[in-house]
Amino acid sequence: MSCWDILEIEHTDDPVSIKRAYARKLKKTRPDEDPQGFSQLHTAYKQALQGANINRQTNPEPIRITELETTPSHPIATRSIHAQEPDDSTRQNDPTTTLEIPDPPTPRSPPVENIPGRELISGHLHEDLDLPLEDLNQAWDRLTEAADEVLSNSTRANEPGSWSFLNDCDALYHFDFKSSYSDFLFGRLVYYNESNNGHNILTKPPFDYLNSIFRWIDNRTILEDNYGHEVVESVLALVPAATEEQSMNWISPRQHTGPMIQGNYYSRVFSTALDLALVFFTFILISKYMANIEFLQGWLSMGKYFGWIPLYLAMVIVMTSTAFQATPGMLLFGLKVVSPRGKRLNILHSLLRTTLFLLSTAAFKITVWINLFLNDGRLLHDRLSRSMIIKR
Amino acid sequence: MTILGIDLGTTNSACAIWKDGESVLIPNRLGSYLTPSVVGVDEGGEILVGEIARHRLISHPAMTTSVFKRYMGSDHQIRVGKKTFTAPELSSLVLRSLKEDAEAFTGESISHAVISVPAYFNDIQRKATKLAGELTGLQVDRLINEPTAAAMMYGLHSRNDGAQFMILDLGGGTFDVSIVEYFDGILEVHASSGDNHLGGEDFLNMLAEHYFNFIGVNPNTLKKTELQHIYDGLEAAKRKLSFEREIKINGLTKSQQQPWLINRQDFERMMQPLLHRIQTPVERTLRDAGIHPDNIGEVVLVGGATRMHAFRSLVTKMFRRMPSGNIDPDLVVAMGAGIQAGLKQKDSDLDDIVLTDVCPYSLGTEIINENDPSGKQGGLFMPIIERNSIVPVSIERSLYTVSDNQTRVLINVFQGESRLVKHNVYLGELEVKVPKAKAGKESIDVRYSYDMNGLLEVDVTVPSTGKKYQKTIINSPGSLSESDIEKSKNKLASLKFHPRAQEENRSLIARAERLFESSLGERREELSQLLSSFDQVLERQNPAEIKRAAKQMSEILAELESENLFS
Repeated sequence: MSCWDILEIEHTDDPVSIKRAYARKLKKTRPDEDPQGFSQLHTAYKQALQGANINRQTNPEPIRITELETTPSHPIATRSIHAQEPDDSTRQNDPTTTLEIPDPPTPRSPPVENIPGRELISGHLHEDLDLPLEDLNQAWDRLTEAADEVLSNSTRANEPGSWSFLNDCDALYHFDFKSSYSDFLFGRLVYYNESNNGHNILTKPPFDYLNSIFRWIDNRTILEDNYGHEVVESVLALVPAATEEQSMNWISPRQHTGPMIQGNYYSRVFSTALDLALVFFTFILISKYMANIEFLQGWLSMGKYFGWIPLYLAMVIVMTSTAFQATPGMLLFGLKVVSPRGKRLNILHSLLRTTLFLLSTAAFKITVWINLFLNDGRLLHDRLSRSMIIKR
Repeated sequence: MTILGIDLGTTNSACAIWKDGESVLIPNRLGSYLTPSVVGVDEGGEILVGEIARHRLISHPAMTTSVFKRYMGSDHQIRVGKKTFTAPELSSLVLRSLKEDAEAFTGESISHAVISVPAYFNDIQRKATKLAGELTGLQVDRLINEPTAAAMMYGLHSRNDGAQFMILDLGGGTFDVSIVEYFDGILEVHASSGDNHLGGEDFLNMLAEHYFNFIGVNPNTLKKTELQHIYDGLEAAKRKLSFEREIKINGLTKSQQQPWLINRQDFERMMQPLLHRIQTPVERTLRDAGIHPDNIGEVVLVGGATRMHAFRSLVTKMFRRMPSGNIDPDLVVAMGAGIQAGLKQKDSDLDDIVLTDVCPYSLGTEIINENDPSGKQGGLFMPIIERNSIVPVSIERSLYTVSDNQTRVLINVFQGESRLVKHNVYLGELEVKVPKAKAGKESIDVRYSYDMNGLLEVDVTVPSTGKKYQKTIINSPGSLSESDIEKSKNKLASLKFHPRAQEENRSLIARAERLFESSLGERREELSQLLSSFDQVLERQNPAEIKRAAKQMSEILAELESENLFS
């Protein structure tokens, strides 16, 4: 079935009659009542419209951004805004000049009459928008010259105030102007970087400022199409690879959200070392200052060399099953222990995990070899106790 | 059956119903159409909503809260007095107040609603909004996008056939852009985009930052009441700047030695980062709709923050022409929601009106990034539903296993536009079992369905076993289980509310107390006398007398307020 059959009209290039046919059919196939019929109808409609557009493309749209790019002096269509006499009825106490758009002149009638005290629809555009705006062509000349002047001197380009000319330019808010100027400036950056032996002429602060205006990073793919991957990469190299400055959250939710990324091997080793040291010193302190507490004595008599091990194990069991989901060392290295489904371990699970850790440490002569061959970085005791150490 | 159309806003909420062929706004208990989205608790543990609570933000900051719409869809707990609430719970308190007003207005009980949400709200935030409705006892028949609601109101009333217009909706906390076409009773949204964390509040925060810089005070050292007072004063200043070229800010805090003079240019310069952020979604919408800015018939401004001169001037600069500001930007969304309510009721006046909307963001899943063995970049994002597809939409894609003898496939659901999943919004996950086979031999069919409410459903079929997993997303952040919802309901049911009838007088008292907080010396004495005499009148319980006294009091307060602001 062709799109014309669905729309129930003859083949046509006239968008108005296509729209009319679509409107007529749509009232019988409403999106919330017949989703499938609607989806079919809409596809047909888009197809018909597209076909109509292609066939009518004898005279293309007047303004193309590409044109503007190559000829900066291209006259950009501007709509002048005329000052008008203030309308006395609505703004007696507003002494400022009044500006109104002459175009389009559609008058709108107030639809809601039954609401007292509040004018819902009122032509209240009685503002002084500080117009007229700067002419776009003049602005283009001004800004391009200013940019070249700043960029031609690398010290100047990195001075904090030298880009401030961009602040005061209202033309920069105009879409075509901005995108052309963004292209221009990026092109200049590429050029000056090349003449600077491929080193970036800008340091990070001015680059960040420019990027906050032109959003080059967000539009990377478009830039890469124009300049090629390498070039874009070199200009954007100032940008940190990813914004990973997440604030530290000590407590994790019961269920991990987001992708689970396995903790780095070294940070895990260091975190364990840190924990051991911490527990060791705690033990030393306890044995020094609380040696006369009776019920501790049995434990303390195990001595300096082994007495702290039970303390370590108890600490691990308790800490990993609390909302921290990590030992103090892991917290500092941004790790946490979860089940393969991202859930918090309960105390029994945590006990199992620690017991397996103890066993695998005791049999370290074997387990070290096994662990060496487990190349996904998940160690034997984690694997056996069905738990994982991941990034918080 | 009446369906209530609700605009649940960041700073203000409003509601409307479809009646006698038009959308009618409902006044609240104080006679105004806007109910501030502020919730507080009074000394007796009773819940206060709206205007009263807003006044108490200054006098009792620890017992009042606002701007909670920002926390929709997160499990952030908000403290109000001795209790803690989630954002949906607080919203449901606002909805409850609106519902009561509507019931008083129509004289019948209301159980169904259409609620507007920012177009760029994600699945989790939408579900949270729906939940807020359910907690109030309102069945949410439709979630409508705010700019779409505004477009309905605008399109139906301008009746300007074949017109393409752009809606810019800058509310208290969110910014939405939509390009809409109206022809033959069809309102077609071509493209939508937005920023979930950009609104009037951000402009206020930015201004406050500059203010603290100016007076050289670290805001963290200030007391909460003092801070509220400063923010309140700055908010008033920000509004005043929409009418005046230059303002003087003085006496907001004791540590301010000299007056702070700012004019419109200064303000615009301060707001520059935000103004550039506004441009991004606008550009994207134009690009997605394939429309040149010059072909946009009109630019319609919606949302209270669009009154800002800086914003209007930005729009003028972007389009090189003046925006149309001819609908009350605070109320148009509520009225649009009222129209949608009428559509839902199948009102005969709206027989020939059809609305089509789009999904403003891409929805997809995580796939393995083969070029990145180190895992630094993380998974890649594979869009399944591309942004600005017309809704309802349902698309199926096949995914293959990546390792030999894989038995489970985890489908992570993401929303966003970035190539890497870690820059996108995580919506939840779904796990399915597959038979063991060589890598790439087993496939699963993942179907994403996005409905008119903007809610996503994910269905997975495993062709080799024929097993279907028909479940909406599980494990989404901030989602609640049945029992959690039940708990929330019980918690809300146990709250005490103030009788609706007395609210007007209490609002007056709260207003006077707020003025008391912000004044000094003689005026304070005057206010305290005023308050105590009003209390006496209230105690005598003579309705006629109370009415007279209330009128008198509100006049005095209005006078004092106008003196107080920028003396």
